[in-house]
Amino acid sequence: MGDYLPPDRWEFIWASYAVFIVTFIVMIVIPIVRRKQLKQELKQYYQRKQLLQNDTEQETEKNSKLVE
Amino acid sequence: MAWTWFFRLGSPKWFYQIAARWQPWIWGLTAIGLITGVVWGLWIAPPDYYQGDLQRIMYIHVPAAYLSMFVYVVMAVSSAIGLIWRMKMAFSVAMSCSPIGAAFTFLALVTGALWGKPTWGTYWVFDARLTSELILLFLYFGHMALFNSIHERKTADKAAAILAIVGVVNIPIIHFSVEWWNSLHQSASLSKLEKPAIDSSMLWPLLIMIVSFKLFFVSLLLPYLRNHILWRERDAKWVEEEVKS
Repeated sequence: MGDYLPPDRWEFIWASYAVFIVTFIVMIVIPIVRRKQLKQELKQYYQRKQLLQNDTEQETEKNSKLVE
Repeated sequence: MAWTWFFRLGSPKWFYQIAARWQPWIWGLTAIGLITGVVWGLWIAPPDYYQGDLQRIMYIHVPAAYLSMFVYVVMAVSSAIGLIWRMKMAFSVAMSCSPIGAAFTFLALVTGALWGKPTWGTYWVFDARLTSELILLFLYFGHMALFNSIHERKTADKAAAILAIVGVVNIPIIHFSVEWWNSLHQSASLSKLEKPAIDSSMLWPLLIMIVSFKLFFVSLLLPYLRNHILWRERDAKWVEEEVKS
């Protein structure tokens, strides 16, 4: 056992740490990007909602005038 | 007093605001822990007698593997809370856990393969530990896919929660696989009941990395959860104000 040489395979160690850093960076970036997308999607959602509400109000107004 | 605090956690608005205040502190602690752990693990901890410097992969592989199981348990417990007490926030926690858990599982599998090649002579074998960990990755993918494939929110919550609870059976299988079956994978180096099998010069950086990975999980969970709350509560007045501000 005295002349046992430990396997110094640093390429595997660096590859592991590289995967670790890349995974962590991706995990940090995903919610930041998603938040921007989500805010954009929600802004459009509120616009559509507002348009629908306006349409309904106009329709109701028209109908009430017709009845009169 | 303690119960008031617990019940307030169930309010999406309150949680959304408090999480924004906690985030910088938790991120700061996580960064300190991770930098200390990586520097200690890569350059200060001694090489192992048998594996040499290759044991340095342990400082990311072991915490990632622990977290892959821990996150699943958090996901299953919050799913159960959601089903039993019909708590919206619990479902949101469960849904925010699955991409994070999948990332830790992926990291554990890849670093394990990179450690396996020079020590076992192969990147992959279909033994009990590796296969059950791979199943865990598929469970996370399945959880996300199931939730996103159902349009009706309540049905999606329930279906994903049931999958999370059923899948928790895989956790003890992963943990005890090295004891129940013959495996290339070594048995646990750390145990709650026994003295650690590794020297303190390697144990300390490992413990720092385990704690830092847990902090990293919390740091990630908060922004994922805040996004999920925004989407889920989109019809609430406060969300509309938040988005338009």
